[in-house]
Amino acid sequence: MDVEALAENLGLEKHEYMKLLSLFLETASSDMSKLQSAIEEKDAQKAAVAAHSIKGAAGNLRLIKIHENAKEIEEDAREKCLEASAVQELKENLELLAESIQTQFGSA
Amino acid sequence: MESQVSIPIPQGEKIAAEAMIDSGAHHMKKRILLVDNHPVVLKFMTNLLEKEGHAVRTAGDGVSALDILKTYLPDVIFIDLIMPYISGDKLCRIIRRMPELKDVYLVILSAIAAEEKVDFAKIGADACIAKGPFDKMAKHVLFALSQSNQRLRDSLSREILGSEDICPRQITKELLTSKRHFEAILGNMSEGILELTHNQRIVYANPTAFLIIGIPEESLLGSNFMELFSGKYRKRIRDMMDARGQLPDDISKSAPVRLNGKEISLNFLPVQDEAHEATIVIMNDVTEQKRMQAQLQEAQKMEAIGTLAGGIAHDFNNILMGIQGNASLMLLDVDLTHPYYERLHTIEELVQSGSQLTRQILGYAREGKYEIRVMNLNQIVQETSETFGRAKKDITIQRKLAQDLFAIEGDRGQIQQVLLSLFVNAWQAMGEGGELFIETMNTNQEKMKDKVYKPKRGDYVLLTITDTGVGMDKKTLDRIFDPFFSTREMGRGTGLGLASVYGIIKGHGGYIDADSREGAGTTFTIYIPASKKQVIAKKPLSAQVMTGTETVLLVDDENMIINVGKDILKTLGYRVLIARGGKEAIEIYRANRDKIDIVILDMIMPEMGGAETFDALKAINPEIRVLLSSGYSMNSQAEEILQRGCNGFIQKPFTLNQLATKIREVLTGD
Repeated sequence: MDVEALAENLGLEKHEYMKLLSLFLETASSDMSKLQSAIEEKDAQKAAVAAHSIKGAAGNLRLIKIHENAKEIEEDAREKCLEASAVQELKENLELLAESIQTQFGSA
Repeated sequence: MESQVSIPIPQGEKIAAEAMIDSGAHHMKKRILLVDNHPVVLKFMTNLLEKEGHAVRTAGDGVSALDILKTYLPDVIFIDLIMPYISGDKLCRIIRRMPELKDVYLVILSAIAAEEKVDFAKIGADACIAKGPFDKMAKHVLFALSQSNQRLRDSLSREILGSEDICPRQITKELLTSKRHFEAILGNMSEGILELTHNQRIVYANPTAFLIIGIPEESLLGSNFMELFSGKYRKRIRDMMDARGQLPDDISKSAPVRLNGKEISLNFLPVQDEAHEATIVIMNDVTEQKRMQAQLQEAQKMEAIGTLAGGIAHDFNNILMGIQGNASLMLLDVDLTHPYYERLHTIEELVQSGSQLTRQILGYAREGKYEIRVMNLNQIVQETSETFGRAKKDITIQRKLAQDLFAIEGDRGQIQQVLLSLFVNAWQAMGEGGELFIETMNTNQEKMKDKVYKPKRGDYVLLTITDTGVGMDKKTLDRIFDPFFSTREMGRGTGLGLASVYGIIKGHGGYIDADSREGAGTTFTIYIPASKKQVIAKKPLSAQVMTGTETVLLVDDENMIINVGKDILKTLGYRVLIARGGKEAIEIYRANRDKIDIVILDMIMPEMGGAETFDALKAINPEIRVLLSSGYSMNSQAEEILQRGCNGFIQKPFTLNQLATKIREVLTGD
């Protein structure tokens, strides 16, 4: 992931963008656990709200894949036919992001 | 993933406006409040705005925003549309109605704006920015800030810029539609509904709740629920909240709390989801229900007092009858010179006073009329007021009595008692003397429309009694017909006077009301139903004691009455047979039916009562002559017996003379 290019695209300094990304990961992980428990409780509304939150912030930060994953989950949840694979994909993409931030911080 | 900004921009100036963003034309530092529930957005916006030199404060939800606004007056507020507790549109409306913030520049910041056209002008916002990638959003945020100086509010286009690129998404629409659906339901409920946060802040109130609480939305939302109530209710409300809906509904209803001058029942429903713990409060205005309940209790209490009083009066009359009878008999044996003559007379007078008191109690107990006759009210008014005028010379009495007054049906003694009570009342109100106006006239139900009571159809006789006395205040006026209410000092009045007046008038199917102002006198207005029957001239009570030689069967369960009654009847010349109950009376009558000329029958007896006994006697001999006697006044039970062919009624205690006259009336069929 080219953080510098993304930051530039958003008109932000790299360190600013990094801060926003880690804040995003924090909230996204709490949203993810809400999403997981919503799926266990079969609460579609709650699942949609959690996905909506991830979707919005991902969009703000131009995290296109995560944005698309979250959007798909939100729409599926509204239609009450959530695919486990979509949630898994979102989870993986969030993990990827976390990893690359780790390396960025390490390199910075 | 586009970001749009919508700001009222004069047509054709869009391009110029775009150019302004970079022109740095707005270096004025601003105070800014950001309201958004996403930390990433808050963080980004804060960085962006602080870099521009503005002062920024942030709030994660509407309640915190309202808290900040208590002490911080910003120039610009950015508000997210969808937030927990108070939604962005509601927050906008609330802020717009706060006088100190009416000129603040409000910018809606929401992803929803990208998905559905937001009518931001309607909710009081000045601009609307659709959330999108931060680079685009940043431009629009700064542009919106530059516009905040100009406050171009009217007659301008409020299109969301670039909205033609946006394809509205069904899902968000549905989200909003279902929200509106619930709002519509809540809006039409007769219960007040509140949503409270875990620390009792009000974040939602439906229209009924505003009505009940009487506080406008902008002040109510965000305020503390407990602070609505006065201190003495707070502990109880806290206990109810802790019980969390476990208390049955009627506990809250039977012990409502006071709020905004109303009696309110409260129910608390805990609502919990992952993110927060909330409480739904259901409020019911039970003021009217409570009032009705109190009224019913009052009516039941009055009824109970009436029944009790009636029972006591009955027994009391029997005792008085014994004293009266014995005194009457002794008086027959002593002449004017006898040392006991005066004392016996005093006993008779005291019995009369006692019987007057039981009459009042029975009048209040509404035990019906003693003896109904068709009569002319004018005649009684004339006589009673003349007698009263002679006794109280400091009062001038003015009468205006209608010539063609309708007849009424009633008990003469009771009507006299009503008049005397009202005259005495007037006299007491006029310590320095004064004038008493008495007026009678014909009227009818149509002319009584503005009354609180609903009169039955037909003609009425109207009697008004007006004095020029001290009058009464509203509090006294409201209570004057209550039993045992007296403005006189303890021991001076029974407090039964006006209560029995009320009872008597009710017993006559009539209505009474009082009108008074302090210092301006009092008017009592009485309506009595008119009768179509002819007035029969009253026969004067013969001065001569009327004796007879016929055989009388005296039926009573009270020994006292039997003993004295037997002696009185014998003194009057009658032969007397005794029965101590209904069954015995029937046996004796069956065996002696040819000998017995008249039966004097007590109405209230254990086992077989007067009514049943009467029917059995009537079955033996349809021509039988029966005089009904009772310590109760003439009530519906007595009236029924009379209608079934009983020949007369006499109220205990009676004098020797009254009994003598009554027996002759029954025997001669007069």
